[in-house]
Amino acid sequence: MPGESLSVKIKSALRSFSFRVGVLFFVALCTTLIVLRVHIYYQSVSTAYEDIRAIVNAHAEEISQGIDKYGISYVHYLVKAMIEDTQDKHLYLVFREGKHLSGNLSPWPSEINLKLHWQEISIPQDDEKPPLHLLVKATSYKNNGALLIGYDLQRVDFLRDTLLRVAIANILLSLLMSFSLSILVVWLVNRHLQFINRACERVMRGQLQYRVLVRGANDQFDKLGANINSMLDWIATLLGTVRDSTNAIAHDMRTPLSRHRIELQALIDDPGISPAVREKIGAAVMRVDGIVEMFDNILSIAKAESRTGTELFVEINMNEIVEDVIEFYAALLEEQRQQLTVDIPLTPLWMTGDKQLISQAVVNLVDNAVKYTPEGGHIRVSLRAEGSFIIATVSDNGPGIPKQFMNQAKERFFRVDESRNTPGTGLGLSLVNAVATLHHGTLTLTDNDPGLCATLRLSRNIEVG
Amino acid sequence: MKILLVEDDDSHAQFIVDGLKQAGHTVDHAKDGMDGLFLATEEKYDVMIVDRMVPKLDGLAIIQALRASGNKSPVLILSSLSKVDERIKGLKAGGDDYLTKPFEFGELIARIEALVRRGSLEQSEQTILKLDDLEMNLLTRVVKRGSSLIELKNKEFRLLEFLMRRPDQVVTRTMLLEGVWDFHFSPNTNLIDAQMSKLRQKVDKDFKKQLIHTVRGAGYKISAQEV
Ligand SMILES: Nc1ncnc2c1ncn2[C@@H]1O[C@H](COP(=O)(O)OP(=O)(O)O)[C@@H](O)[C@H]1O
Ligand SMILES: [Mg+2]
Repeated sequence: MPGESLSVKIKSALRSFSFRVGVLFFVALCTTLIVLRVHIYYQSVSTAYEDIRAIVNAHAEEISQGIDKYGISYVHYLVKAMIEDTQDKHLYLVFREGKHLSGNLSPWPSEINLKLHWQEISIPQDDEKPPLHLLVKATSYKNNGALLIGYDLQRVDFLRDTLLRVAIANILLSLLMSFSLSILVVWLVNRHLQFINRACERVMRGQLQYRVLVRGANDQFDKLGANINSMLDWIATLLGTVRDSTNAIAHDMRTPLSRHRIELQALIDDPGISPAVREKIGAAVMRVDGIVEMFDNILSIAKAESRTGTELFVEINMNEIVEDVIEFYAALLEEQRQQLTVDIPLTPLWMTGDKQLISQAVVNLVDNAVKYTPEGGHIRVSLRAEGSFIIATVSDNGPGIPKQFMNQAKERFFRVDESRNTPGTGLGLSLVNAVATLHHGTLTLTDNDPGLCATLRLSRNIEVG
Repeated sequence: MKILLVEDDDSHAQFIVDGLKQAGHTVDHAKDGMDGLFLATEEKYDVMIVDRMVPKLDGLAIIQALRASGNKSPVLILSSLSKVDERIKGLKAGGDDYLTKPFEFGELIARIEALVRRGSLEQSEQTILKLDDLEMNLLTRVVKRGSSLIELKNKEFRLLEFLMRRPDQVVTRTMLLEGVWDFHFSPNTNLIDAQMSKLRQKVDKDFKKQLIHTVRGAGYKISAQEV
């Protein structure tokens, strides 16, 4: 929505379901990838070690067989022969007997612990070459004799390095991919839900003809959209039926009432009737008018409450409406010696709305103030803008509404017992409330201490569909 | 005047026909839409009263058909549907005024007369309205009676203008509510009387001759003649 700050947008995005699904997806994908990579890494490295151990073991086996056959001193010869024979530059053989060393590695590496079977050692080299990294198998013999078979781990190290580098690159790439993928998922889900959300919002605002856009992909979003659409169609049909039947009821009620009134009127005009009877019939005619008026009010309330009544929305100048209503009541206020304070800004406050309903709402509020405030009372009418709302208040210093009835006062037909002698139907505030709802606003009743303060809040910029 | 009434409800029709005849008018009555349309095209009427819902052909359809054929006779729509949007629909279809049931007979007569005389003063571009020694300038908004100035508030001015544009015609309270305040609902109509008495104080009180008259059971009338 426009006007929302970025941080609010981000916060709501973080809270969104699709974002959470995206994060979950992302985390799951990363974990799988990392586990897989680590596994491959250990697998390859340990296989390389196995191979090296096998080579070393094979040589160890050969030497130990030589020892068995020819005695320990023969090893010097065997080692030399093996070194000459082998093509493998990575193989290192050393045999020590007392101070006598033979083999392709000298001196005897000091780190070697003869008690350990397999060791990894690092031997510094001259000529700025990297140190020699060896896997060694050392065996000790009597008389300070010892055999060392070592294998250069350069290949393994290289493999390890490469694997690590590839794995890191791989993980980074997959992170990036899964991140983009989850963003894409979030975006797609949001986009699809947006069609649905937008339609729901429009319908809620009274644009009942609005529908969800179904893209024809036949996926679950389309199904949801199509279901919502058929639900809306059904609601529209029902509302249409209700509207038609209220029209029909209006017609069916008004016609006989009107007939009734005509007959009563004919009686009044009958010259053979006594003045006392004529007066009674006159009162009956007024009651018929009262019923019709009550009926009109109920229909107006129903229309405003159904929120479908935006067809008549026009640009209206609230200052003008309030001023007109005040002027309409001015003569009566003067007659009842009620003091009126008007607080309306000089610049006109414009809004989009139903002019008749808003006029009627303001009339109802002012009418109550004038009606229920005793002679010599004080009535205050004010108008102001607050953000995207227009706020009209009508307050008086009359008896007010007892606290326990404050909420009930907006209900249909509710009247405080003390008001029963004053003419009225108890529908005035219900209509104001319905008009407020139609214009995305509220009617708030508060204690003016003494008296009543009615605050009517109306949204200024309702989109008309 | 020659009037056509299209109305299917017997007691309403009887009531209207009797009343109009009593007031000296000639009335033709059609009980359904087809008859109504037939009569309206065959004869020339000064004004037509058409019920919104009549059998065979809907009231709005009759008006649309007449307007399409170039018939410009004023039409008053009678209806049991009070909603403002219904009224707007009626006027859009080509009706000239809209009256909801139940109504006072005086209201009907006043509206018919207003319709027939419409186009004379009401719609003229005249900027000065005169009646006897009362004169109102619509441009300068100066109102004078003889040589004395009369100070009027905004709505009092509109009220007097509404009356002055319909001299010698009965103007009902609802006509004033609709025409001056644009209130198409029924607030306390006594308030119109309060307004009117204030206007009278300013316009008539200090003068021998009364111009604004109350018409019992109907409304008000501005006239130089005594009623
Ligand atoms: N300004 C007010 N001062 C005191 N009581 C009020 C005021 N406005 C409303 N009320 C109380 O709330 C009730 C409901 O008001 P409303 O819906 O306008 O119906 P009505 O005016 O027809 O009785 C009234 O009967 C009255 O008891
Ligand atoms: Mg009230």
